[in-house]
Amino acid sequence: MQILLNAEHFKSCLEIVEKALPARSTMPVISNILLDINNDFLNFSATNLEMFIKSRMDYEGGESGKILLPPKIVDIMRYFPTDKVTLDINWDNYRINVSGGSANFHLYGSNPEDYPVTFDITSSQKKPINIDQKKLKSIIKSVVFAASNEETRPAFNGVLLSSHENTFSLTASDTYRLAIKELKDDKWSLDDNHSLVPARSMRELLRILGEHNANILILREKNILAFQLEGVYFATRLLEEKYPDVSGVIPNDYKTRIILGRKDFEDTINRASLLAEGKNHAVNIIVNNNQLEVKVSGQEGSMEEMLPVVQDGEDIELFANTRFVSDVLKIIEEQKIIVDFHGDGGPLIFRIDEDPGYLYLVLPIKKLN
Amino acid sequence: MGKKVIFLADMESFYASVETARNPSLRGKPVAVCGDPALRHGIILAASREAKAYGIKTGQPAWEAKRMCPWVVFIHPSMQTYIDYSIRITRIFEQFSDRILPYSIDEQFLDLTGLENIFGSPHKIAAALIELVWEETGIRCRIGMGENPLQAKMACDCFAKKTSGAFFELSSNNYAFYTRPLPIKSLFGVGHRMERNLNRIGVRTIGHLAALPRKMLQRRWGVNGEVLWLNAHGIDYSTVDPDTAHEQKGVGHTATLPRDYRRQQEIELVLLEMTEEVCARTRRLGKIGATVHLYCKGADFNNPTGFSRQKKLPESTATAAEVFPTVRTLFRQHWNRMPVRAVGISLTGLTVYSQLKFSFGSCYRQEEILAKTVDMVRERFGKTCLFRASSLKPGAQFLQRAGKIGGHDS
Repeated sequence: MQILLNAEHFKSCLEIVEKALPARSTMPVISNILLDINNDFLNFSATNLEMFIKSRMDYEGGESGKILLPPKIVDIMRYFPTDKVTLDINWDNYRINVSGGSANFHLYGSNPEDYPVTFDITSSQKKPINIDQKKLKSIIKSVVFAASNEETRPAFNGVLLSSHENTFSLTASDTYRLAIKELKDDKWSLDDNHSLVPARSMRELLRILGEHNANILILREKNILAFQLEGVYFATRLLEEKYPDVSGVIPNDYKTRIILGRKDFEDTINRASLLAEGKNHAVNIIVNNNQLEVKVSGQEGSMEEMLPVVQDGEDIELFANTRFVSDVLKIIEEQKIIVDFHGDGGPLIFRIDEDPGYLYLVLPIKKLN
Repeated sequence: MGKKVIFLADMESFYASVETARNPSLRGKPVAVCGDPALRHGIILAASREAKAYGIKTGQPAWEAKRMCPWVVFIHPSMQTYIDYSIRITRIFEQFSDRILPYSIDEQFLDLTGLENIFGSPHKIAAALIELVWEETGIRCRIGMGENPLQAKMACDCFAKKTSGAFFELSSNNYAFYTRPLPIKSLFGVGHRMERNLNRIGVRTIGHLAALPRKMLQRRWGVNGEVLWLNAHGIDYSTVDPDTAHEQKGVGHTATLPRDYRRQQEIELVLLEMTEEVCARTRRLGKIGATVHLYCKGADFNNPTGFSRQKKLPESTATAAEVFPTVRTLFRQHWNRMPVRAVGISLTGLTVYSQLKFSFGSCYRQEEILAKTVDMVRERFGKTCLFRASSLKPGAQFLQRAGKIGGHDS
């Protein structure tokens, strides 16, 4: 069977699902991309058993069939010479011929019989959430960086999606910092009010989501959460870990509050991090007399920088991890940032005036002697 | 810039000399400091001049020394005393210069550059130092002088120790003349293995090495090769800077077990005790560590086994409860189930900056508080007043080691 395709479109479909291909797996069949041809569409799927991505392109051929494509096909399409590509599939022995212009590849596909299909929840009866793609991207981005990559406490590898009354919130933490984004919106409720989504899946989803305003549906069925957008279906298994109650660590009243320009603060912190030492990139942060001083002194030298701030409350001096601070400063787009301090061992809380639902807490570093 | 005046002062048979100084009745007798052979600590740590005359050397097993000289006097080490003496000697040196770098317990570098106008020529200063140390501690000290620490070290090891004057001066002018004929193994930085490697390419003396092109050594052994070439030419860019000694990179602990340990449980018990010890010492420095390193040596000499592996901790810490799981994982991963003779643990990547953590209801700081409390109790009432019950089990080393410094009796 021969199919003539737009090479660019074909490549982008493959690149979307490629993100779900496992790096290495004990199950050889899932290292392939499933191509499912039905009357109107070509469907490409890949999964690492934690997440599942399906992409789709139009097709007018009227035939149908399934085959596993070797993952190399993604790279082949990246270097393809022509705008059109001809895919010739032999259904008897699963040989594939990919040709166009001077290029001619013969690939060995395989039988799709054992390919697992467990992620399809599109037939769910539950009411999906309907949300703007751009908005979803920005709220995921504002918390996902705080989730942990260490595998010591699996719950913290997840981003918690929860809804309570008419508040929908996302929470991520690695126990050193905590990011919370709350949305007051009653159409935002999932039937089950806790979903712990692997942060890894969230990061891949971010790469798929576009900047344009388009709608996206979010579905939840048992332990699977799915996002359905134009031409792409993204599903992820949820973590079954119990997420701890984080509300107890958020203090009510600040002891010191400063308001300052976000960009200036980010630049200063990045400069300070050049000399910050050790695993936790510690820098000295001092607030007094309407000024914020950032200081480092290490074996390679020292630096200090002063920034004017609007200060409310007592003076304070502490150490903090530059990476944790710059992580939040670089994703916020607003001009001004509010930082609340809560004494010696209490957290720094980053807030945005325009968005009262957003909170980012970082615990300081204690200097031992 | 004028030439620098660097001294390396080395104490002759340091431990043995301290023992003789403490107990004059030993004067003139062959004295050897060594541990208890019954517990396999029977290695000669130091031999007096008289004992050396019989061929007794540092590092020999005690029984061999006994055979060489049946009337040798064995003395148990008292590490604390040696440390005290070493500090006393530093105090003497401090009367002359503030740039002193203790290099080991019995070797110290002194920078005396520019002090000629106050104390006279370097020769005079050296003589005065030797005299003062002898008078105040009864220990013979030998001094090597050079324009950099390397020359001083070479002057001391290769010449001052062997001349009756106990002083020798090397300089960039005479370095080649004196060191060229020396066997390659006497060059600083050339160990057993390097000696073999160098012999293989026909290098038997320092002169041979110095004659090779620098590039060739660099190609063969990288930076190490270049450093050897520099050493062979008496070039050394380091200085005697007391500050460089202060930054401690890690805390470690190695012990030869009193017998070969075969059972996993027994070995892990000792590992736990040593982890505790290493953590307690790290806490005493007011630091926490990021990486733990485990070393294990197999018991069979003919078929040497063992491993040396490290692993990053989930987070920097200095409490045994948080470090030990990683130690145990390392051990279980790499141990080949053969009997073990010696084990070592060290904690590196030390820092004073401790990232605080949200507790989210659980009390993760409990262990830290417990460890600190135990430290305080031990400091006040002695190390053995409070310990893990498992240290009473067979194979435990805690009570054995409690009174020791560096594995030797204090």
